[in-house]
Amino acid sequence: MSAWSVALPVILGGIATLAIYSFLVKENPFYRFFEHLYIGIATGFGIVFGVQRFLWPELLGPMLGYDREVCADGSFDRPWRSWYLLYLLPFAFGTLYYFIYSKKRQWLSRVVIAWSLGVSGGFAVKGFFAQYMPQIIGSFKPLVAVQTVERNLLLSFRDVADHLPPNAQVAKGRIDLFRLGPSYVRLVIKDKDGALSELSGQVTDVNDDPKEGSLTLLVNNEERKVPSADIVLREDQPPPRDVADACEGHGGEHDYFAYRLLRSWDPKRANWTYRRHIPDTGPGSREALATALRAADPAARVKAVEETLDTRLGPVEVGLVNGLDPKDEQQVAAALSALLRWQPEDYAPAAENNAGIPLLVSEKAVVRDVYRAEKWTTNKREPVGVKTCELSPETLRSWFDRPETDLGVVLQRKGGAGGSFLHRFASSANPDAARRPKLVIGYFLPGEKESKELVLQNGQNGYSGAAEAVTVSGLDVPAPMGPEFLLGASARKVTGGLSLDFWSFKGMVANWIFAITLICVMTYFLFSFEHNRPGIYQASMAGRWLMMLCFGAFFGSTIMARMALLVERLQFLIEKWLPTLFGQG
Amino acid sequence: MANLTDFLGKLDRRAIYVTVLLALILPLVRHWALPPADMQSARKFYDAVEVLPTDDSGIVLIAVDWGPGTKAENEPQTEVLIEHLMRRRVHFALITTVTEAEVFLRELPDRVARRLNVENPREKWEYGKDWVNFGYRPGLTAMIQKIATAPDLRQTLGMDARGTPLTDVPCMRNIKNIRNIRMLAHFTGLTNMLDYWLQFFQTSDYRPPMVHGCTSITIPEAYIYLDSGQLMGLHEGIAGAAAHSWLLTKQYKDRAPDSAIVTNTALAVAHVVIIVLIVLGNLGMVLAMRKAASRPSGSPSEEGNA
Repeated sequence: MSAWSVALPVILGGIATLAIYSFLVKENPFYRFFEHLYIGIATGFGIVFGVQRFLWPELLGPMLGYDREVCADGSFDRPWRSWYLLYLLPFAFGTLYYFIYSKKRQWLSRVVIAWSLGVSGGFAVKGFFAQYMPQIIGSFKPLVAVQTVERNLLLSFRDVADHLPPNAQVAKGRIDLFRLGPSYVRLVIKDKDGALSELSGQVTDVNDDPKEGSLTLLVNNEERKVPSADIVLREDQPPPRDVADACEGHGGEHDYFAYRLLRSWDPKRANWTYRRHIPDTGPGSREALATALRAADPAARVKAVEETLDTRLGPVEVGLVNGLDPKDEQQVAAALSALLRWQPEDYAPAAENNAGIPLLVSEKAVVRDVYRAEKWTTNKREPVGVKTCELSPETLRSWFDRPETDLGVVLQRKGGAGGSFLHRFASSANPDAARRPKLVIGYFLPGEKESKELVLQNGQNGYSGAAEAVTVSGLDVPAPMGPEFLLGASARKVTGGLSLDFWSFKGMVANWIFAITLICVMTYFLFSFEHNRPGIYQASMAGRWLMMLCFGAFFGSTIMARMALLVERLQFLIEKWLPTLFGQG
Repeated sequence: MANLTDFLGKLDRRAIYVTVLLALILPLVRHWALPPADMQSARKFYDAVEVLPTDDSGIVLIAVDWGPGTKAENEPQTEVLIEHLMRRRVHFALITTVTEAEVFLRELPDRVARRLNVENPREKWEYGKDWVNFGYRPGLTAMIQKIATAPDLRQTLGMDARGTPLTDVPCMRNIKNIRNIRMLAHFTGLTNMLDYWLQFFQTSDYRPPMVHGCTSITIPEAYIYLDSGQLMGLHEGIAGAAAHSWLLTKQYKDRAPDSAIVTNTALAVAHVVIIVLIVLGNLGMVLAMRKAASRPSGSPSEEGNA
């Protein structure tokens, strides 16, 4: 790129800018020329865009059949659809707008305008409620802070409790007790450094020590003292219709704890978003896996991958294994990397097509019952033996090595929400037979009756593709322990609102300011009575002052925006334009 | 004191302009990168991105409704979000209802991907796999509603900006409808544009979490939506982008300061200079008033020179 090709556009831009600014001195031809030039360019640009991006691809192309692909033999990929000609009706109706230039038939344009206004009115009514109702609701804020820091903590945990299963209990009035009952929880939490992670397990007791800024949790009967931090609960997600929807909405992650929570909660409130904390560096990280997969020595590579896998496969992990040849080291590496949600550099579309079937692996899951099925029917099941084993990466790998399984593995929570997932991927309803799993693992939740057996059946909606089913029961999942799992005292909900802390003193002051400002400004604009009465006069004057303060803030923001624009231009000139112009770019 | 009063009273305003200009240029030339203020709204934005799932069954929709007029503020905001999503391997799609924005839909992700590739030579970020460009879409409210209610987004939108059918784009493979849009990020300097997305980008039972980046001028308008919970996070002008960028720098130690931080530093220095000048101006006025008051009555006032 020559220096002039860089310099010219900027110089022209500078001249145009100065020309427009010259209006500040007085109206002049120099200004007018560039003003018209700008309008002309914008109009031309708009016309080309309108034709190129809308008229042709959305209207004319389909109507004339030019949106079809021509095959090698000269035929089209699909027939021309004559009903596209119906587009002519709204098209013709819209062109009535141009009668605005006709003195005689101007009324025709008014029909279109009336139509547009009607549609806009309809949109406006719909949009009004969507836009303003949350604000109206959000305007009702408490003006009295009813609690101290400790009360705040209690309320925070009440917020948490609102999202817990019905059997969760909160001891009212006692700050140091927060009983969840036999439920497992999984909290997305944020520590003091802002790192997000999770805490999972059976939390049975919480003791707070405000002086030390820490909490003592009884997680899985083990006492843990953790520093204060924020608990992040997501309430922004819409309520899932049911558990299956929720799980599928979370990317098909068959997360044991999420199942437990989502199944138990009121569906209207089951809105958690969760993610596994994956370290960015160190053992188990994406970086470590990438390094491992590039080790020159195959044995070292496998070892490194296994180490990474062992680190990363916590009590629950979601990944995918499908269409995998266990003897193909590259494929195993690719699958494992996908399992760990890492995209390999030599990402191949073929491998990509194999993705999509999640697998839940639990280190401590006990496999007790194994059924082998040759021909599964609804009425006939043939237990082939009982097997107890640890479901670990090694177990998984041993399953991979079996020649009779095609390594399609899907996990189904028996009798639960996994059904729809299994239906989607594993049943004969899935036309892609290659993606149907050959091995199906079912599991129970702790405490559930093990009466529901996994039934593989032929026929409609049957899991006829599966050659084998493994029932996993008695999941014994310990809470992941480690420094990254923290639970904090200053719990809060992420709703995006500034009134997150509206129960606090600071929030109370803010709410009072809001209320006073509202009343004063309304008084200023209320002309139904004279403003010279005592109280009214002061309030209206205060309203005027408060408005001026507000306008000041607006003006300050405007200055800020303009200066930012100037800085950006200066930055461009200094860092890009000048070095390129002088051959240093 | 008299000299100071005279100096302040006769200070040429062009000297002030030059001083402010120097205050803006100096940080850019010296590549100063001061830590920005920790903004709660930007931290919420950051958190909202941090908790997004990284699987391929969802996507973040980024509405780039800005043009060259507000590039200074909206570009760093969009860029820092794109970088955050790329680093987390969250797939995203770019769309605009503003014709002038189309060039940025192409340039921004490419630029960020190149920067990340330099930082992480072992990893790749590619069009189609990590992001997709829906391009400019006319129709505004009708288009927004069309996307929101589409039974199959890929069929409704048809092709990406490069003319590839969306059904062939890898990162769109599992994207079906609005429920697969995990978050809507909207950036604009235009008034009302945010309203359209707030009003119409939803169905009766689902509204994706929304984050927003606005210019400094429209911060007061955008704040109400943050307060009501309709926005999950907000980039308040260039300062918001810088705060988000700083959080990324804390998380990714090798990350070089980006334009948001540098611009924000220049702004901060200029603001300090302006504040000092305001203080000096007021000081000069007070001194001049005192001088005039101490003078015997009948002598000409110098107040007008202040």
